[in-house]
Amino acid sequence: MRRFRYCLDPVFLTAAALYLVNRWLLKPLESHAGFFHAYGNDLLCIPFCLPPCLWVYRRIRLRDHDRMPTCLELLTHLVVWSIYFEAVAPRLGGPFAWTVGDPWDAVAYAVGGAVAAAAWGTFRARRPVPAPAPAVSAAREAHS
Amino acid sequence: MTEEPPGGSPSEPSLAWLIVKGLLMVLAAFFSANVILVLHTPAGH
Repeated sequence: MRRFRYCLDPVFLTAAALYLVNRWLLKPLESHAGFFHAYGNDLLCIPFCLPPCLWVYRRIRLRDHDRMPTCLELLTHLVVWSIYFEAVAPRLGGPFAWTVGDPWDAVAYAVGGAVAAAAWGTFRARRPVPAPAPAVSAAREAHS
Repeated sequence: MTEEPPGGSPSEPSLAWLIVKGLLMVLAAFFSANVILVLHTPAGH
């Protein structure tokens, strides 16, 4: 089973590189109404933000394994972040006064999350741990 | 959360354990959302 490497995970590193490309190359090339200006960062939200969060959860023992992100982890963050970023934060004002609610942002989170989940194998059925082969078990019993 | 889920093995968690884990994840996602918004400046948006 593949071990999740959090901030060294290839999906996270790719998202970080794409963020820099979007920030410094694509955005300056297009107007404020352009696709990458509006949705570039939103597509990268889950692959870029989830791994560091999971690393913190692991440190504080909220996460008890180093497997790839699970369905529960991905879906709860997708739903909570979509509601909070697009419906709650724009109404809060204060430090979040710059946020603007846009339902299409939530769609972009979902698309980016789906691509990351495909790379992580999140929705692939987890295979049960195979039982030891009978020959090995018999050999162990003979030794004990 | 390293202890075994009550009423089941880690490979077969009970429904109650899944609900507790789900609620903890929702709470964690809420706190991380605030951190992300604070760290994510409008200039970078």
